[in-house]
Parts: sequence; structure tokens; C-alpha cells
Amino acid sequence: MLRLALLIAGAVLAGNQGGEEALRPDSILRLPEGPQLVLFSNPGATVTALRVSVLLEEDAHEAGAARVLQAHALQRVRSAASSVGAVVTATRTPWGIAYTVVGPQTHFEYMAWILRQTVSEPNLDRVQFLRARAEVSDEVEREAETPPGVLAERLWSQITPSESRLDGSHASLQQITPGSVRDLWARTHRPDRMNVVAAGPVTVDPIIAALKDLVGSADAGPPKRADARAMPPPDRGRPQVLRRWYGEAFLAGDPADPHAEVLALMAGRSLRQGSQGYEAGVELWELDRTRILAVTGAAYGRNASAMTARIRGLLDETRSAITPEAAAGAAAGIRFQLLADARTPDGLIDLVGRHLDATGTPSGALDYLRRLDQVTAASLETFLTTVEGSGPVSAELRP
Amino acid sequence: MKRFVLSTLGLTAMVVSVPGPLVGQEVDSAAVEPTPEPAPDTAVWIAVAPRPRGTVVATTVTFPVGSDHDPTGRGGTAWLVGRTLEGMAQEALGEAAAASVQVLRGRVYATLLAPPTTWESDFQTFATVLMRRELAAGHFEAERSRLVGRLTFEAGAPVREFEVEAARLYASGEQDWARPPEGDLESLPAVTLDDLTQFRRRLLNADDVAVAVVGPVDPDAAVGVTSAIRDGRRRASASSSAERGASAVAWTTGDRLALPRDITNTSLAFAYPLPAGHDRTAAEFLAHVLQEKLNPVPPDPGVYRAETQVMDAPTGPLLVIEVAVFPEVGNRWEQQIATAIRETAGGDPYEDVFFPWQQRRFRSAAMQRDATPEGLSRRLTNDLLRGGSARDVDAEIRTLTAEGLVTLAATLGQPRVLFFGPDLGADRDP
Repeated sequence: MLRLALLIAGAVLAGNQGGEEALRPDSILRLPEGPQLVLFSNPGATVTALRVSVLLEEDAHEAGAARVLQAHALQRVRSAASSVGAVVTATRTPWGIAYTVVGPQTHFEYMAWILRQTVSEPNLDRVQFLRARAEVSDEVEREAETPPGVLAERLWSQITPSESRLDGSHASLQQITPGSVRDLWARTHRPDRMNVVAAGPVTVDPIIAALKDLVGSADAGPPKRADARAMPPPDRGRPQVLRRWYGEAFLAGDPADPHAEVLALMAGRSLRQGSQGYEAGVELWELDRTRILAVTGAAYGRNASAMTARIRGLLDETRSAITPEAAAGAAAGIRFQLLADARTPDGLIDLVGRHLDATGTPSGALDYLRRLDQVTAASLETFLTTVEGSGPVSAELRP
Repeated sequence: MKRFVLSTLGLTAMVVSVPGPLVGQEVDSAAVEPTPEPAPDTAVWIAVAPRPRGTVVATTVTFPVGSDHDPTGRGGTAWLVGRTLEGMAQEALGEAAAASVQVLRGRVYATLLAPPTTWESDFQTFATVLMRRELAAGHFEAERSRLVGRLTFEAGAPVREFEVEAARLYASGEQDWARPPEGDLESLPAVTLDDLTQFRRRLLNADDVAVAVVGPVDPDAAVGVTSAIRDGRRRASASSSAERGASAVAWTTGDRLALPRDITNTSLAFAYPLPAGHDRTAAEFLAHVLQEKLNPVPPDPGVYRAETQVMDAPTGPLLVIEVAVFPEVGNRWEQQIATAIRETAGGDPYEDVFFPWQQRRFRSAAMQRDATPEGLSRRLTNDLLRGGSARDVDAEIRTLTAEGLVTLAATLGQPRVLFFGPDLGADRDP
């Protein structure tokens, strides 16, 4: 099997060091008609972390189906993982579904089996399907009952009208059936649409041997789009509102560009200073090919005008706070946080895996760190001008 | 100088004991205290676990003192020292490193996470703030104000009272240890910046400390860098009361204290003395086994939480079990905990199946805790302060046996029990 694998890069371990160099993969392989494998070999470690991600796109009418598939997969393997104390997760990301398992290297074969189970054909009997769908549906409905959830939904639907929320909507979830979830699985869970990231005291051969049987849908023919049907209307939640809520959103570059993260950090800091009498915050939402900078807040009557004016003027305020020192400090803070996130095997595969899924580049996480080093006050101001030019869209909820 | 290398978690950990003051360290004459004689048993323990592929370096400096050394009537002093130092350290380090200082009853843990490229200078900054820089009045006042606000909000909460009463139970008469680490609304207003300064000067003793470094570092260089924690001052050892009692048996007679309260849940605290000479890893395994017994799947609907731990109490180490349950099942749960201990001591008829299962899960949890660099560095400093050597936890877990588990459970001392909640007479368990 190893001979058939195309070794894209390998045996770079000797030159590897800690710090950001630890984000440089030791081996990158593309298995024939199989997944791309990115390996971080750490001979001294005792814990192994494995991540398989499946790249997929949902059609609007099936929004939330991948989330149901993810919930079902997790329900299926959780107890199996617990028998060896391994931790298994499944996450719906903007690029697909990511499955991870982390545990002692001595249980490597068993953990690889768990991972194969997560991506194998779902056995969705009626009870299992309803349980998985209810888990997602409950979250969506909880969100729709809160002012921040409704405000986010309204901003989202304006700024990316063609993009569905990852959890879907109440309406789209009601359209999902066991058959539609299985269809989604069959057209997406194919080895050639998968990325595998592994970290621990493992080498290439055992990984290939353990994961060679990933998923049996390779014979299902070429990927097909789901049947085209009308997009369900977005949820229009009517939460009980006591304060005035206001938000603005802007398109903020692509996932490989760290300027958005630096800008969000600086804008958030600006907002925290002098925000008396109201509550406000800055978030960065990630989509598959873009990011959204969202600024939202809430205030009671007498402070509502001040809150709204502050949000409307926040980017100008942030621009005035951009100095070489502030930009460098914010970039250094984000850089450190990313390194800290990757300090455990599971943190490392998650960081590398997300950047791999977003950019298609195994060194995407390392490249991102290096781009952070290039963020300057001037480049941040240029980026800010682009962001301002993209919007904003705004939404408001009144008592 | 004592120096040896041992294997920890499959990695090489170098442990160095540095007795006496280091030569050539910067001395802040203003901070030097007249000390008649250096304590003969003082030592700086330094452990280094190199992780060549690590993305950050974690360094934990652990002092074997804590709120148990607060001055009388000044409860919260140690806590405020920790919070003040944390704020000052973070301010000095900037955004590209993270500092934390946590104060418990018998410990102060100061932890630095830093990128490998700046780790050495970051540690110098961290050590300078920790040991030498004048405490900032602004940070102190802000932290005290925050703490008073929180305690005011929590005043009268049953959970706070239970924590205080449970600590008294575990302290077995050592009242200094039993006080809440955060102090209380009476003591905090009396604490002054001078109290904090005196506490740090007397008790955050660079001659009685354990340091552990985990990350992509050269072991020799790391020992050199962390020696900066020494500041030239020599003071008498002020080890925690928990340290003094570490090898003792906490008590020989059990007890039961019922504190009836008209509240909406019942809290129970069970404390079992661990036998003298017990193995720490085996005791943690026993706690893990009991934790799983008390948290079955699916969960008992009458339970809010059930937690077990091995605790270094002042008169000796304890196996502690705390649960919060519906009042209707409080009495049943008191019996259930005692039964869980008795059954474990009697041996499991299905041990061929369950012992390996429990051992696997315990090992996995320990490996994953130690995979976090700050988790490992903290554990290493505790090992050093407790016994002067770092455990190879993985190897020790592999040697655990079902017989050893039974023996340890059977040799636990008499429990002291706190029942805190409504007195419903007999349970009305549905």
C-alpha cells in the first residue's frame, strides 16, 4: 500500500523544531483515490490524535443534514471510545465534517477503527435518526428564541443570502429524512474528498494500514448534487426583547488572510473601552470561502442611541487606534494563541486540519502564522478600507 | 548538587535539586531579610521534560505554601498576592505569553506559557515580577474590589457554607488550613498592600520551591534559566502544613456531622484517611474507580454531581468524595458511598473484565492530562514537593493490580462525614 501512495513530502523530521516549526508536517501523502494524509510524527509522545475531515457542500433545501449526520456519527461511537478512555469528537465546520479521536498510542488500532466507524455508512433507523435530528433541531430552536440568535440570523441572511447556516433552519431540518442524510453521506463521504491529519508516536505505514479502508462509498459513482428544490424560508424567530438590539456585519476577507482576526481583536478592544450602559461585542464568523466581521450590542432605552452610534462608528474608531505597535501587539497575541492552541496533539491536528480544509494546503496553518508576521499598520488600514467597502448590512430588534 | 535523569511518559525528564543559594544571582538588597541560619533542608527542585515538537514552553513554579499561611485576621492575603502578581506579570509580558498564579490552601502555582523563541526572556520577566518587583497598588485594589464584589454576590449561598464546613472536616483541627483561600467579607477589608508584601517576602521562598519546564528546550539551558527564580535571599523553610503531614495518617477515629439546612439540595462530604506509605498513583486510581462507580451510565437522576479526589490535607492525605443530590435521596446516597467503598474493598467478582477496563480509562485520562504541557509541569512540581522525585505515571499505572486496589480500599481509615441539607428523616426516594 505504501508503494502506491504518492509521497508529496516526507522525511523532514530531522530539520523540524518546536515552536511554529512544529506546524510543518513531517509527511504528506496522497493515497491513490484516497484521502490526503498529513502526519506529525512525535516519537517521544504517548498520546495519538487522529482527525478525518470530509469536505462537503449542502444544497439549501438540505441545510442541516450534515449536522444531523455528524450528530448521528458521534452518538454511534461515543461509548466505544469510552471503553479505552479515548475522546472522540465530531464537528460541523464551514468546510465539511471533522471527526477526531485522541487517546494513548497503545490503543492506536482501536482508535483507527473508531474513526473508520465515524465515516462509515450511517445506519439510520427511525429512532436514531429522530434522536440525531432532535439534537440539532433543539439547538436551532434555542438559538431562535434568543435576541442574539435572531440578530445573527438576520445579519447572516443579508450578507450571504446564498449561504445556509451550518445547523440549518427549523424549516430545512423538517424536510430532512433518513434518506436525504444517507444521500448526503453517499455523495460526500468518499476517500478522495477526505483529509487525514495524525499526530503522535506514529509512522506512515501503520497509519496507511489502519485507514486504508476508510469508507465504502468509493464505488458509489461520481459525486452528484442533491435534487434541486426550493430553499426553505429562513426562520423568523420572535424572541421576547427587553432591550434594543443592533448589529452590523461586513465581509472580511478569506480564511487564509489573518488581517480579519487582527482587526476583530483590535475592534473588540476599542469597544470594551468606554462601553458603559450597554453590552456590545465583536465576532468573526467563518464561512467556507470568506469571513464575516459582526458587531452587535444591546442597550436599554436611554443608552440605545449611544450604543447604536458606537457600533456604527466602530471601524472608524478602530482605524484611529491603528499604530505600528498596536498592530504588531495584536498580531503577536493571535500568533501566541494559535501556538498555545496547538500545544496538545488534539489541538495541533485541529488547527492544521481546519487550515488544510480551508485552503487545501497542508502547511496552511504555518502559512497563516507567517502571514501574521507580515501584518503591519499600513496593511491593516488597507484591509480595513476593503472591509468598509463591503458593507455594512445591519439588523435591529426593538422591544 | 544532586542530579539525575529519569524517564517520564516516555520522555526524558531531568530533575535537579539545587541546595543552598546559587552563586552570581542578582541580589536585591532591599528585599534581603535577615535570616539567622539557612534551613538545612531547603532545596530548589527543577524538573525538565523536553518536548522537541512542542509549540510552547510551559513553566510552573510551585511554592509549598498557600492561604494556610495567611496572617491571622487577614484571610485572603495569599489569594490577593496571587491575583496581583498574575496581573502584573501579564502586563509585563504583553500579549505573546500567558501568566497565571493560582493560590490554594497549601500551594501557590505560578505558570508561564511562552513561545520557545522568547521563553528565556519571558521567564526572566516572569521571575522578576514573581520574586522582586514591587507589588502594584492598582492591581491589588482592583483585585480586592473584584473579589469583594464576588463574595458579596455569593454571600449566604449554601454552596459556600458547605465548602467552609467541608474544609473544616478535612482540616481536622488545623484552623489555618481550613480558612477559605479567598478570605471573607470580614477579613478582606483589613488586608493591606503591606500584608501582601510581607507575605511574599517571607513565604514565596526561592529556597523552597519546585520548578518544572515542559517544551522544546535544552535541559541544561532550562535549568540555567529557571535558576533565575533564586534571588539571593535566604530564608527559613516555610513548607505547607500539608507537606508536614504528607506521610502521616490523617486521623484514626471517624465521625459524622449533620448540619440540617432548609435548602433545595443535600451535599455530602466523605473523607477517608489514606494509609501510611500508600502509593500515590494507586490512591489516584482508587479515586478514579470510585468516581466511575458513583457516576454510572445512564446517570442517577437524583444526582447533581459526584466527585472524588486525593487531597493533601494538613494532618495527612485523604480520599475525598463530595456529592450533591436531591434531598429525597440524601440518606440513600450516604449509604451508597459507604457501600461503594465496602464493595471495592471486597473485590469485584467480574474483575477480569472490569479491572482492565478501569485501568485503561484511568491511564488514558492520565496520559491526556500530561499531554498538556502545563498539566505535566504542574504535576511534576507536585511530585517533587511531595516526594523529591517525579513519577513515571504511565509505568506505575501499568503495574497496578486488582489485588492492590482491594488492599488499598480495605486499609482506608475511618471516614469523617458531613451531611449538609434538609433533615427529611427517612428518604422519600421515589
